[in-house]
Amino acid sequence: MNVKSILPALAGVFTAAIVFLAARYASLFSTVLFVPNWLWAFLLGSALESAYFAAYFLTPRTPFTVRLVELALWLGPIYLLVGRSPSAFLWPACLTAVCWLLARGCGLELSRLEKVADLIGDQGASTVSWEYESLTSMGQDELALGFFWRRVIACAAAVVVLAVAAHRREVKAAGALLLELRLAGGTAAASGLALLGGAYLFRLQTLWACAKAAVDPALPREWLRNLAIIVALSLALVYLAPIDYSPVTADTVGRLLAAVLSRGVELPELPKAAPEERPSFSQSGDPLPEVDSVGLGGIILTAMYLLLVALVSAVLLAALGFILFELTKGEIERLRGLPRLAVQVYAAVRRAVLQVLAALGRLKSIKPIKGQAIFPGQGEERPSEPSADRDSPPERGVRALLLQIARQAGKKGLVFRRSQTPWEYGQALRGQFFPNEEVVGEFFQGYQRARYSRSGLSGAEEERVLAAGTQILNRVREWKGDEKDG
Amino acid sequence: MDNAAAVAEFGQKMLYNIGSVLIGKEKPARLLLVALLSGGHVLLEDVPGVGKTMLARAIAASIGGTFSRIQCTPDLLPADITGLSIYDQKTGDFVFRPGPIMSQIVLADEINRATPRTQSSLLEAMGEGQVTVDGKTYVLEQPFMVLATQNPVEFEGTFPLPEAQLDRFFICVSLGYPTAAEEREMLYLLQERHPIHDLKAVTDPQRVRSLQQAVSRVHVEESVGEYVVRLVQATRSHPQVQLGASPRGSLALFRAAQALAALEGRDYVLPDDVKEVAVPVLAHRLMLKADSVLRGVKGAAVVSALLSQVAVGAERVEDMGS
Repeated sequence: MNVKSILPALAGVFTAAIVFLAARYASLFSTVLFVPNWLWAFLLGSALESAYFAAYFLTPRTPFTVRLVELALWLGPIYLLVGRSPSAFLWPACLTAVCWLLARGCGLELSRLEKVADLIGDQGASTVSWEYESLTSMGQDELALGFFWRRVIACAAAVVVLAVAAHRREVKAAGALLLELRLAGGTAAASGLALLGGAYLFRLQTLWACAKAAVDPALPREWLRNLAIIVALSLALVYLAPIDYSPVTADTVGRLLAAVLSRGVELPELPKAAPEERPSFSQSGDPLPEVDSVGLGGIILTAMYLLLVALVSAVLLAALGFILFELTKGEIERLRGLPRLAVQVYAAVRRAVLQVLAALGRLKSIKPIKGQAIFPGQGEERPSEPSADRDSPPERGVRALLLQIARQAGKKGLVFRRSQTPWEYGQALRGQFFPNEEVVGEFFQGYQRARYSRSGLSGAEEERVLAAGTQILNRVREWKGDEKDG
Repeated sequence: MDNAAAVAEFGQKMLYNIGSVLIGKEKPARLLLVALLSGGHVLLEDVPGVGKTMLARAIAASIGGTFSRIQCTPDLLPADITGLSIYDQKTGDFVFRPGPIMSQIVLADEINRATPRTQSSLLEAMGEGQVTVDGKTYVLEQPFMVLATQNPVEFEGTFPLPEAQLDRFFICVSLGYPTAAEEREMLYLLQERHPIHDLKAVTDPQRVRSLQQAVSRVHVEESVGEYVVRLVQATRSHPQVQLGASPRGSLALFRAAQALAALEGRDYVLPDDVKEVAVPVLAHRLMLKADSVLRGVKGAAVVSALLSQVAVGAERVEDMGS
């Protein structure tokens, strides 16, 4: 079975539920934003129509007027139902248009997912391979399924913001409204999760078709069945689990944010700041207190407030930058002024996040180090640590002598860096301590044979190399900074 | 004479022979010998007129193998490289006409001027040492070496080599301009007649094959092998690199270090050998991120930076005791 037939329905239900939630929360703030009950049918209908039309019929050649007529078919009846009053028409029309547009985006993305072979390249469907697909999907959002993920997260975040704002205004939802909100929230969560899972299956089905892979027909059915179970379990968990087990709830977060934005944060560890001297950023518009009069607590609070404002500004700019980046397909040269700044902020944030993730990845890959490295190179990266040497730790012989030399020379400032080869270190030693002597070359050549060759050194050779090494060691021990040229 | 000494003697003879044609190109010539002894292929990347083609011809003439040259152009077809079957009216049968790829030393001049389809026809030959035409597979005579040249500054009408093909080049070598003294010497050397016409072979393909086997027996101590792996793995996690060196890159680095050690007359590899060949072996295999490319970062710079960061792993402090 092809899952594409049900995905527009899921997208439509999800969109309508989200717009419903947003509209319901908005109506808590002002009676002007109240919407009549019959509008929900229009929201759902317009979302379903928009998603299906975009997924199955819309092409780049479809005239723009068709889209306008399509939208007008939904807005016209609304205008009639509100009594032909423009002021009463505005808010329901906005909601319907937003719902229609959001669903249109989902439908278009489904249509685009189906054209993976065209997007992958000029080699066409015959060369679609898993390897290529995985590679191209890794760093390019337009080929991956990031759209639905971002859409669900962004919609959920918008609803959370409205819910927190409602909490901050101490607007209580109760009775039938509470039930409506819960039902809409549940519907949005269920359809959103199902949309994510279904879109992934659709992507796989498209790839299977392109690659002509023989797949068990029962697999999509099993996938959908398992998806339904997971969604049902998630909803059951959300509705049945005790919601107050965690100290970090929407309630506490909302209260904390409200406190920060209106009255400031309590700082119990700063006893010097008297309660009456605490800065107050109340909504009544009181001027900021003088820094001297509020003491250290006030300064910290002001700094924190400014930091918060900067952070929120940066987040808003980054969000705007993300939208512009997507709209311009990365061609930021087209932008000037604030839009360009927004895109640059977005790029900086993205780079920072990627670097942090890369650093975390590297930390994971580093094995624990047994003891301190012998040759601590300052400021060096450690892509990975060398494993233990194949031989037991050298207690005597040429290798042990090199370690002693390195330790003594390190005390005199010539550190054996981890990225140096023994021969490079020998050249550095020669430049520092033995400008005109061949003893360094003799010792390090012998060391190389002892360390890296299969045969090693003979007895007489080893004696000679050890004698050269001892001479170097003594010279390094006796060396003082002022006799460098001697 | 042991194997390493034989390889070193071969290297000296070859370098002397090549040096009589090309002035001041000893380092690139050594790298070409490294590739030849490792059974690899070479990408010569430099501006026009610095001796890329001449170096390839000198190598071919010095080993006395069969040599052919493919001048790559946009209208070159795969069959122009691999060969094709032609209908013989007398016998009433199709007769295979081998293409230039059937030689031991193949010079693919300006390879990036050929279309991707034609470039890919070299893949099987370079990777497997065989060519399949009309369903029949022809094994190429060893030693087989492709020397491809490309101009890095002129892009009009060119098709950049795909990553899969770049990875099949054992090393990428740049020749660079000669110094003033070298250029003056070259002018007088070529005053009457080009010495390439008088170049004599110093060895034969059979000998090269035996030396290749000798190189594969050069000892690589375990810590040096681990250094190779660390170096290659570091390219995969470098922040400026989108796609690091492949396992084929590890193999090439390992083998190149063996060949270089043998050319030095040693039967064991040093970390210094790995460092010396790391840039030509690894740099062209890295796919840099788009922003790094725009900033002008090169693969060679990334590998050089890694060489100054990755631990060689010679000795460790706890080995000293207290």
